[in-house]
Amino acid sequence: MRLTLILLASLLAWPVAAADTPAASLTIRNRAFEPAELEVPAGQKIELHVRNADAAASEFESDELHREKVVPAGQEVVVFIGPLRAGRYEFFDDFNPVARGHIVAR
Amino acid sequence: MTVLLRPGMALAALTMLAARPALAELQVRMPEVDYRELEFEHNGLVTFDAKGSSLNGAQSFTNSIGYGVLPWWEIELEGEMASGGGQHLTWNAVTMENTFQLTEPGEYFFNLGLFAEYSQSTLRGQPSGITAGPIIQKELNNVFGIDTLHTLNVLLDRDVGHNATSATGLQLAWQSVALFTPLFAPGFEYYGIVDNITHAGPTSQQQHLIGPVLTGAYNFSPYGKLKYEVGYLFGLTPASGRSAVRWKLEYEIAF
Repeated sequence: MRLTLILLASLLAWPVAAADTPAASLTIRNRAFEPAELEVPAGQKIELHVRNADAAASEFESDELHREKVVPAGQEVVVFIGPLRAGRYEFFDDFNPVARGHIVAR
Repeated sequence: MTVLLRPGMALAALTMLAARPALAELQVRMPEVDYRELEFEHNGLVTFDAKGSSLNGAQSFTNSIGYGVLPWWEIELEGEMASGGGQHLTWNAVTMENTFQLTEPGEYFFNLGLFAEYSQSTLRGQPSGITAGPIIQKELNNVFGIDTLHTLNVLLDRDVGHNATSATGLQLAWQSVALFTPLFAPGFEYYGIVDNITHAGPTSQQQHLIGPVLTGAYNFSPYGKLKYEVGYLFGLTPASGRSAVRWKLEYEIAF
């Protein structure tokens, strides 16, 4: 058990999200993503801020980015994605799948 | 950069460390919690061995319902059935499983979670069990052009209640998959089971299995998501049996 705790502590003390991680922002407003297409640098981890300006909860989800995260009404969450190869990656609102967009890594 | 550690909750779960499960269950647990999602899960395992062996034709099934109560806590209620080779299936335990997501996926070098379960035996005279331990996951993107996912479970288990032994067991589970598409993610997995870590005995008396696995998911959003896993495992020791087939089917929907 002691070994497990030491291992856990060591791993948690090993942050790699450097301060210079590029950030990008998305807003959910009127049940749609703004912008619907977001360009990010390829080959780097991205700190994606998703803000929900609506009065109902949403869920940022992407099968291609392997991420899903609930965004409560009026709040902002951070989703870490990548490093991505150059290409287009679709995302959507799982609570309102009509709302869709793309991340374009260049 | 915030560490999403919940020390109180993590400590509470770690105090449950020590215990043997009512049933050895072969599956790799993931560190992420699907907040506000309801899930139904079925796991199956059939083992094969020499004729006359209790492992030949032995079966184990679990069915569960779970919910992501908080962004970092998911709870699951599970029923377990099992049988030895040639025997009838018996309902042998009801289990409460908890997954605690400790870090935001992708933020740190590893994604971390904590798993803790209490398994109440439904068989007369059989002990119940507690199992807990860390879930460690690494995403490696663009490995020869392919994204990969590697997950390790290191769980300790211990009997509790009537006829409990003082042994602390170890359950290791490791899965590595290549994420070709959401629906098609093949890889391999390894399971290791040691009944008593202080008297582990020779390797031949431990269970070690390894083999290929196919995983994937299909998203029917807004009608939910179907996930599957199917694996074929080769026993590496006499105590593991010759081989085993395991599968997992999971349906989850926002709720």
